[in-house]
Amino acid sequence: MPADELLRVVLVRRGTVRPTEFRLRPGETGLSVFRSTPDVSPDAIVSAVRAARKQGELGTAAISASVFRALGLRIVPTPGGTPDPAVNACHVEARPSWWRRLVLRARGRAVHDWFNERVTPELARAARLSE
Amino acid sequence: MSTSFLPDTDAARTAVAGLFAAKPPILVEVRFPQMGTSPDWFLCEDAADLEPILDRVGPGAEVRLSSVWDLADKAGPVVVCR
Repeated sequence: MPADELLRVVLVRRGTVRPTEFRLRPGETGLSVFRSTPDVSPDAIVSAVRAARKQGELGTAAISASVFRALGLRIVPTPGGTPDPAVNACHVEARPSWWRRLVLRARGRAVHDWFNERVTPELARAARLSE
Repeated sequence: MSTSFLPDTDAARTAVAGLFAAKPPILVEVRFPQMGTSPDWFLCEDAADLEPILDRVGPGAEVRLSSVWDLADKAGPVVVCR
C-alpha cells in the first residue's frame, strides 16, 4: 500500500462502494480518513471501526493524497475517535482551505454542501476498494 | 441548532419520547466521529425500535434522531452522545 494514500472505511455492497461513503454531514469541517502507514494495516483500521459497532460489510477505500490536494483540500492531522490508539494516531481530516471556507461563508454556503457537490463525486471516482 | 444529551438522563428520555410521540417515524443517524467512516442509518416507528440500536452503539458514537417530517432540519436533531 503506497504511503501517500488515505484510507476511508466504507460499507461494501455487492463489491461496490457508493459515493455517499465520501459525503460530509452537516457540522463536519472535513472528511475523516486515515493515513496509510506500514505500522497500521487496513485490516486494523477496519477492526477499530468495527469495534465502535459500525455495522455491515466493511472494507477500505484507498485514495491518493494527491487527489485530495488537487481538489484543494488540506490534510490536517487530528485525533482519531476509535477505541484503538494506534489507529487513532493515523487519523487526519481532509479540509477545504481557509480561503475556500472564507469564500463559502461570504456566499452563505455551508461547507458540507460544497464538499458533497464538488468533492464527493471526484473522491468516489478515485477510490480503490480493498475488502 | 441541535440539542445534545448524555444517555440515560431524564432530559434525553424526555426529548426522545417527545419526538416519537409528536412526529413518528424517526430517522436515526449513528455517527462515528473521527473514525474515518460514514454514519449508519435506521428508521424507527416507535421508541421500542430505538432500544436495540442504542444497546449496540459503541463508545464515541453519536446518535441523532430526526422526524422524517422535519428533514429540512429547522428544529435540529435530538443528539445522544455515548
